[in-house]
Amino acid sequence: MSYGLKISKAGYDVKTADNENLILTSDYPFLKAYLQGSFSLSITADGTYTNGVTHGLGYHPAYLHLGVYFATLGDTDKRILGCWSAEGPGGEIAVDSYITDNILTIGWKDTTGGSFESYPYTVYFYYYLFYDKLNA
Amino acid sequence: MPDYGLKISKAGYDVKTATDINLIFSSELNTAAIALSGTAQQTGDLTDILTFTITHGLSFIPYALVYVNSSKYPSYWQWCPLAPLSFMGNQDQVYNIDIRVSSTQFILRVLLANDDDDTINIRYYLLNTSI
Repeated sequence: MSYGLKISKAGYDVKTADNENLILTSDYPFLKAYLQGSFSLSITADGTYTNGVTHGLGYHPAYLHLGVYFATLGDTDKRILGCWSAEGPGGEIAVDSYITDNILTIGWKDTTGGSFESYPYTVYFYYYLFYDKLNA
Repeated sequence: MPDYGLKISKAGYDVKTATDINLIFSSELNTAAIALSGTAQQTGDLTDILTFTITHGLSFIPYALVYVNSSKYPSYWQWCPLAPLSFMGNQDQVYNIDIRVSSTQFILRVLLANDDDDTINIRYYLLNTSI
């Protein structure tokens, strides 16, 4: 028996639209939002700076994070997604993260001696955690 | 043409007047539903390249959300791609991870740099959104 709920994009017949052209289909689940928030780190010298977000779910949930960095370069309107690193003559700047069954940890590393962004500066992170479980 | 669709607002907001950010769902906005999700596991040794190939059967190139876990550090899962030299979690790991998505396959390649067997677990979500 075929049943469920579908909503198509404007211009597509919901009865025949491919899944790609559906806004909603009960065949496909969503990541279910559990927790979102933000924090900032003050970067004062070369080193690694981290912040932990306790989620307390007791398992490893899916997560995302974005950041706003380099405010002094005028990048306050840009959100950079995920983990990355950039190496230059002065050293490395990187974002990294991991999650345990209790805490999401997001970190910032700067080994440039302030040659890229002068110390001190502040980086801002925005995180999203989902109920969806990573490990099988 | 009548104005129609489906909206669900957050608690405390009138669905008839709520702005988009205060909606849980709006049929006017595309969504990132999960078209395919799964886990996989492979084991390798130093300099091995583990290749996870998933034939997804979608007719478009989906956005891929991927997480990885190493048997060296079983309590940590990390969102991919990692920083090339991950400085947290797997402190001494130097995986290189490469993600490719086509209209038929999702491929994740992991170059191992640990000096003995390492089992890599992955969790992938392929979203119903063409990139």
